[in-house]
Amino acid sequence: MKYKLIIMSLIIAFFAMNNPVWSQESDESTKLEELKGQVEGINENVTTLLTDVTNLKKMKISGYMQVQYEQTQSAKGLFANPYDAKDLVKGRVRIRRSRLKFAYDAGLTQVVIQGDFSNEKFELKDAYIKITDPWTKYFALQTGVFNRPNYEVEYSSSQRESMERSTVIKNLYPSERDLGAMLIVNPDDMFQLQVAAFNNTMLGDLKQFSPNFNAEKFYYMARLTKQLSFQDAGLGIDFGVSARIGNVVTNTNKVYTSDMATKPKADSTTYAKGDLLPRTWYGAEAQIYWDFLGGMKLTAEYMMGSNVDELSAATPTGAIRMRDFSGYYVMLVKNVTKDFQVAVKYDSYNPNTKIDAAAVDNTKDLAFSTIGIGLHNYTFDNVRISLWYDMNKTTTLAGLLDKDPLDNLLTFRVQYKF
Amino acid sequence: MIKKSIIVAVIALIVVGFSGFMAQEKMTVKGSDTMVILSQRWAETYMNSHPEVSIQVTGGGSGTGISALINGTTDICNSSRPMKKSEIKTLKERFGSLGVEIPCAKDGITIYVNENNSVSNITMEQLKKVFTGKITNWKDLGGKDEKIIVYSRENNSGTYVYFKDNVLKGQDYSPSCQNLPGTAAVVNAVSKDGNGIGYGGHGYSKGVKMCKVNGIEPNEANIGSGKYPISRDLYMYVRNRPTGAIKKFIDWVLSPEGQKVVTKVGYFPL
Repeated sequence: MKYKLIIMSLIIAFFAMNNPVWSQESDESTKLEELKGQVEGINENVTTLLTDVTNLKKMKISGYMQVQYEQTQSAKGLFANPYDAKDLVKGRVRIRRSRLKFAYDAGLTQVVIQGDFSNEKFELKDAYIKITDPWTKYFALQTGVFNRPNYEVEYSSSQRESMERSTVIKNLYPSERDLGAMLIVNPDDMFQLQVAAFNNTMLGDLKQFSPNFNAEKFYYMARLTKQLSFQDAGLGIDFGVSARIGNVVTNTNKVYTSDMATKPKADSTTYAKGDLLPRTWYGAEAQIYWDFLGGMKLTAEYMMGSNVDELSAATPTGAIRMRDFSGYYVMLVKNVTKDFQVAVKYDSYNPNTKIDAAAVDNTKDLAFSTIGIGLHNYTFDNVRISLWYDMNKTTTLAGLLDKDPLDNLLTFRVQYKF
Repeated sequence: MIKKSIIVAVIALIVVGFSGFMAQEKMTVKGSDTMVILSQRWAETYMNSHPEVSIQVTGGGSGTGISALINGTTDICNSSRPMKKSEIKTLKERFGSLGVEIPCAKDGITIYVNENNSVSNITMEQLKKVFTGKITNWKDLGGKDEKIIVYSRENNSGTYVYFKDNVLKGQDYSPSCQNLPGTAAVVNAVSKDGNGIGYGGHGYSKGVKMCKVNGIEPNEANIGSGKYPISRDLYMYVRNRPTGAIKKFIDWVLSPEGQKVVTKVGYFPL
């Protein structure tokens, strides 16, 4: 009986192994299992890859390059000489900006590093960390090197319609950025308040050589802005006020002050070494956007206050200049079709408002204005081609500056932004 | 010398820009993947009766469409979420315009589960917990003792943003979420995965079961009235107040004829 069972089992097994239908089903089942395993494996890989890609998407690389041809009326009309300080040419090709920005954006936390590459050097522009509060998201803290809170300072050069910032902004915020910390308050876009403190070592500001930095460690800035939208009228109005409050510790008792009655004078009796000279100003700004025949915008900013010029380390016995100043700009930008944009800008800077124009006795107190007109083209993706003409006018004064300098400037710029 | 330079540069700019004027004849629509089928049907139907018009429709996600609107590479943007303040800011800086928002259909974000899944109702609170990773097993939702596989969209999707803002209340999605590149991919994944759950436009829900949310079914009456808790508008955006061919197309989309297409595709008319 036992042998019979064994023989029967062997026969069944033999037939089962050789039966083509059973064998095929078995093969298909095995293949199906194999495929299922492979698909599951691919699924796991895809999931891992998707997680990696999601993480990589937090890293953003952007930048822009501006290459331009500049043509001026005289060799001295080219203000900056990036390649050769003794450059006497009237026209030149120049890389104006070449920026590369790395940002890691994890939602509530961000880190940004931006550099500028030129033929001569690499310059760090931005390096900051930003943290947003996770509960209300109304508050954010930003610390490091970043743009100071001002409309034209914060408005990217890649976007700005005029080739350079206004004269008043260039004078008040050289290099635009500084090292410090800023609190940003933005409750549901009702308004935005920026309050910042920056190192008074003037790293990104005017170079100062104070005998006692500890007396004035920081200077402070604040900017409050509000946006209004009138969708039915296609109108948007943004406006705001700003302030910069700080002091410079003088390293000399010779302080040239503004004076309405007489010419500016070195007052060595009122001031002593170590005194605080106010470097404080206030500003107001407005931007109006109107969906009229393809869209247009009008931007304006006014600033006034007390400014202190750069101190000199080499001549600590020299004089320091403290002046009341005012400056403003107005710019109108109009879209003409999707690809073209025209702009006109007027800016004015008076470095000494307390003295009559006729009483000025040095070139640093001469008022300055510029009318700029330009055309931009956006036909190609990522590319902006610009043609801009600045008509610079410096106040003339017999015996001091007999003739307005020949410094009008034509710029033909090609910009690539990514 | 300066005069010559100005003349040469102006001529160069005009020559370069001429191709831009020529290209304006074509109407392009880009954006929301949720709306891509709807938009294609609109374009096809409209072009049938207006053969002189050429409309090119592409998806890519609401975020991609809005970026294209800001960059000037699309005439109309489809978006399944309203534009963010930061996007409006960028648009007005470039074009001096706030953009024009045109609600063009209604949609209920539908919760898809596999047809064999016994769960047929889910609360908003449970949804939040599932997609943030706090509930990970179907038994916590009244189903079998199996792990929940969560399918989501990528972060350039308007539906992703809308769901995050309105269902997750701003919280982050669970890291175990599988982010798929389109609503069709989410539906496909859930239809094949017995333990899957996903979300997307109502018009895509073929081959999957639509869950009730808070006991309310995602149907025309409930979505149209806003009773269904995840109801939303679908939008078209243009840079400036529409004129010419773009205005005619948008007017047609909002007309009874255009809204009929909305119903046919599976969304809900205004």
